[in-house]
Amino acid sequence: MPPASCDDMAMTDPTPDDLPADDPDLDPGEGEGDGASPLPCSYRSALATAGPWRLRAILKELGVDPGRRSLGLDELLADHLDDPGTVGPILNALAPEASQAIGLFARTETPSWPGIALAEALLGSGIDPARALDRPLALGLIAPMPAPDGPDDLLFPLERGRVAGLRFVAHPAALESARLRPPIGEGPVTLREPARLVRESDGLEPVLRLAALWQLADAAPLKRTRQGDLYKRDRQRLDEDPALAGPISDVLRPLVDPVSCWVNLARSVGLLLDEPDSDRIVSASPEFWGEHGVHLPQMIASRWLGGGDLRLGPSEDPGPSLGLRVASLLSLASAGEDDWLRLDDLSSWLGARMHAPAPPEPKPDRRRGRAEPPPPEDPMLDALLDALLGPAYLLGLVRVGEAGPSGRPAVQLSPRGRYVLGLGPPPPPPPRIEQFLFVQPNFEIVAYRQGMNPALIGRLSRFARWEQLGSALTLRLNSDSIDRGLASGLSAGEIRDWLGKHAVRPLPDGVSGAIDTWAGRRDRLTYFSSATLIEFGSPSELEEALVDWPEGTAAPPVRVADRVLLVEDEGAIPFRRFRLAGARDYRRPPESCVEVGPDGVSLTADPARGDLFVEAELSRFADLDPETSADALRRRYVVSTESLRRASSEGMTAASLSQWYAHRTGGKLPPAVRLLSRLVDLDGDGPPPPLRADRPLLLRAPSAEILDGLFQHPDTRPLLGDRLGPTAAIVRSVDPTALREALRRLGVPLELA
Amino acid sequence: MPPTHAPRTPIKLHRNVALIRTEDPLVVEELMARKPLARLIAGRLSETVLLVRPDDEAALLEELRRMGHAPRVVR
Repeated sequence: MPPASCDDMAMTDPTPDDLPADDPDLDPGEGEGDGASPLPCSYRSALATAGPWRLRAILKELGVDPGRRSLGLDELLADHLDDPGTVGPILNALAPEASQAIGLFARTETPSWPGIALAEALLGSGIDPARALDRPLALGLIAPMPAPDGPDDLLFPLERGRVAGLRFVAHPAALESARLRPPIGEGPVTLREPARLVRESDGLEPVLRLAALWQLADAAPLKRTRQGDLYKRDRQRLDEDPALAGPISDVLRPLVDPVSCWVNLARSVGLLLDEPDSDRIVSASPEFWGEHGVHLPQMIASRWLGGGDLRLGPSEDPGPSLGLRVASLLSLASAGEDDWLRLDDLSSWLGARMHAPAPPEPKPDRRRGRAEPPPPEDPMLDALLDALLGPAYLLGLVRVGEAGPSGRPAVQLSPRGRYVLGLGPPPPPPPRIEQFLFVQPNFEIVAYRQGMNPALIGRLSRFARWEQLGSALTLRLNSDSIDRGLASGLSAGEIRDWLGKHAVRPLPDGVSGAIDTWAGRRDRLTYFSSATLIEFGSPSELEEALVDWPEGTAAPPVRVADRVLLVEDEGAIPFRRFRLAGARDYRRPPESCVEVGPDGVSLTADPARGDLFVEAELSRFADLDPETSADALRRRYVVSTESLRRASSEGMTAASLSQWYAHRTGGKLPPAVRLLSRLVDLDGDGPPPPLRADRPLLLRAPSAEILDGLFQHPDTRPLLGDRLGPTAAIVRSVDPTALREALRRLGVPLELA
Repeated sequence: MPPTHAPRTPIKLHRNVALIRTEDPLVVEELMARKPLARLIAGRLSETVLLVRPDDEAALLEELRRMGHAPRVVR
C-alpha cells in the first residue's frame, strides 16, 4: 500500500487569482520563495532534526552502543530499527497506552500526525498523551519533528501555542502490527431501544468519486504549483465535471469542498501520484484497481481517519477536529454491536475528555450582503455532526438513525467501521448481482448501485467514462474511453464480453460494432506526452547508429525525422557509443537561443542552447535560407512577407510573434519584422496607408546661430520642418513664398538655388 | 600498439517532448489546417511528426477527438 507523506496533505484549493494560473508560458515557481516548498517529513528526516544527546539516549535505550561517534547517529538508529525483527518485539512489550499511540498511526496508515491532533485523539480515548508517547519516543518508534532543542526543552504538554507545527513521525515498521482498542473505562450512555429510520450508505460514494477523478487525471494530468495547489484551470476542470463534483445523493451532512477532499484522498491512497521531478499529478496505472480495488473503501476510510482529506501547511494542526474522528469511532466501538448512541450524549462524553474543536474561522466573503453563519452553539456536537454524518456515513463506517421520541440523531458503528479500526472481521460482501448494467444503443450505460462493488467500479472505469453518480450510475462509451480501455491492457473482445456478461439485455449491435471500429482506428495517430528524442548531427550519423543499435527487449528506436530518433525507453540508449553534446528537458521553460541578424529579418538558432522546437517554430514564420547547407549547425532563417502570410494562415498573430521574439531572442520585434507584419496585416488592423514621397525644400543658413533664431522666432518657426543639421532644415512647404515673405519682414534675403 | 576506438557520435538528447506521430502525411496536413489545433502545435518535426506544446495536452486531445481521431496516448 503506498505510504502517505507530509506531501499527501497537499491543498487542492483553487489557485488564487493572482497566481500564474493560466499563463502556460510562465514558470509556476517564478517569484515564489523556496520557503513555500513542503517540508520533507519522512522518519529519517525527522531523526535528522534530533540532537546527538537525544539520539544517544535512544540508542542506549535500545541497547546499541554508539561508541564515541557524534555524527551519523540518526542513520545508525534508523538502520537498527530497519532490521527485520527489531521493532516487533519492542511493540509487543509496550504498555497499553503506548500501544494505543502507535495504533493510531497504524490503523490510519498515516506515518505523520500533527502533534495536537494526535494528543486529542489520545485524550478522547481516555489516555494521557505524555504517558502514551513517552516510551515510543524514548525508543525511537516515534520521532518528533522538529525535535526539541535540548534536554530542557520539554515536548509536553502538547498545547496549541506551545508546539505549533510539531509533528510525530512513526518508524515504518511500527505501522505494520500495532493495534487499537476501545477507550478505557465506562463508555458513553447507550439507548435502551434501537434507533428508528436507520440509514446506512453502501460506502461506494468515495470509491466512485475517486474513480471519476482517476479518469480525469488519466485524460490529462493535473498540474500543481510549488505550494501544492492545483492550477486554476485544472481545478476548474474538476469543479465542472458532473461525476466528480455533482451532488451526492445519499448524504446527511454536506461535505465542505468535496472536490479537494477527493483529490487529497486520491493522492493519499495512491490513486493519483505526484510525478517525481515534475509539477504533474498523474493517475496511477490501471493495475491499481486490480491490486487495491477490493480494499479501496478501507484504504480511503483509514486515510480519512488520519486526515488524508486535509491540506495542512507546515505549521497547521487541526487539533481536536481531526483527533475526534478516530476518538468518536473508538467511543462507538466501546458499545455493543447492536447498541445505539445519541450524538449529543457522545458529544458530552467526548467533551469531558478532550478539547472541543474551535469553530471554523469566518472567511472574508466577497459577495456583499451575505450574512455570516452564526457560530455553532455546541462546537463539539457540530464537529461530530460534520464528521460522522458526513464522511464517516459516506464511507459506511456508521449507521445513522433517530433516537426514541426525541428524534435526535443517533449513531452506531457499522461492521465496516469496526473492521477499519481493527476491532472486527471484514464486513460481509453485499449480495452478488450478475446482471446490473443497461447498455443503451446510444452508448450510455446505466449501472445499478446494488450490483456494484469496488472491483467492478475499477473495471468499468478502465473503459467507460463516468457521467453521473446518483442512486443510479451512468457511464458513456466512446472512442476515447475504449482507447483508454485498450491502453490499460484490455482487448475489444474482453470489453464486449464483459459488458455482455453483466448487461440485463444483449449488447446492442451498434455498440458492439462501434467498439471494434474504435479499436481499429487507434493506431492511426499516436500522441506522446513525454517522448525521448535523440538528435544527430547528420542523417548519415543517424543511419550508422540505427545499423549498430543493439538488439534487446526494449522497442527499437523509430526514425521520426532525418536526424532524429524516438526511443520509448531511455535506458535502452547505448550511451557508450555516443557522446552527449547536450540535453534538454522540455518541461522547463524555453530558453533564449536565437540571434537576430543586423538586417532584422534573418534569424539563427544557437545549436548549443537550442531545442527541437526552435527550428519548428522558426519554420512557421520564416524560411530556411537556401544558401544554408543541409549539414550546417547554424541554420539561417529569413522572415519575409510570404513567410508571415503563411504564419498568419496557421493562426499566428502579432502578439504571439512578439511573444516568441521575447522568449527566444530575449528582445523585442525588430523594426524590419514589425514592418513586414504590418504589411501582411498580422495584427488584423488592416493594411497600412500608402507611403508618400516628394521633393523637400532645403534651407541652408550661413551659421547655426541664425538657424537657431529662425527655429525660435514666431514668424519663421511654423514654416520650418525637421532640422537636418546645425545649419540645414526642411521647409514645410515646397512653395518658398511664405518663407521669403517672413524673412523679408525680418530683413533677411532668401536666395533660391 | 594501443587498440583504436571508433570516435563516439555526438548526440543531443531531448527529454519530455510532446509530439504527435502518424503514418500518413495527409493526416498531418489535416491537423495543421484546423485552426484551433494549429494554435496548439509548436511546429513540424517532419512530414509525419508534429511537435506540441506540452501545457495544452487536454485541449489538444479534446480537439483531436472532436475531429474524429482516436489518438493512442503514450505517457
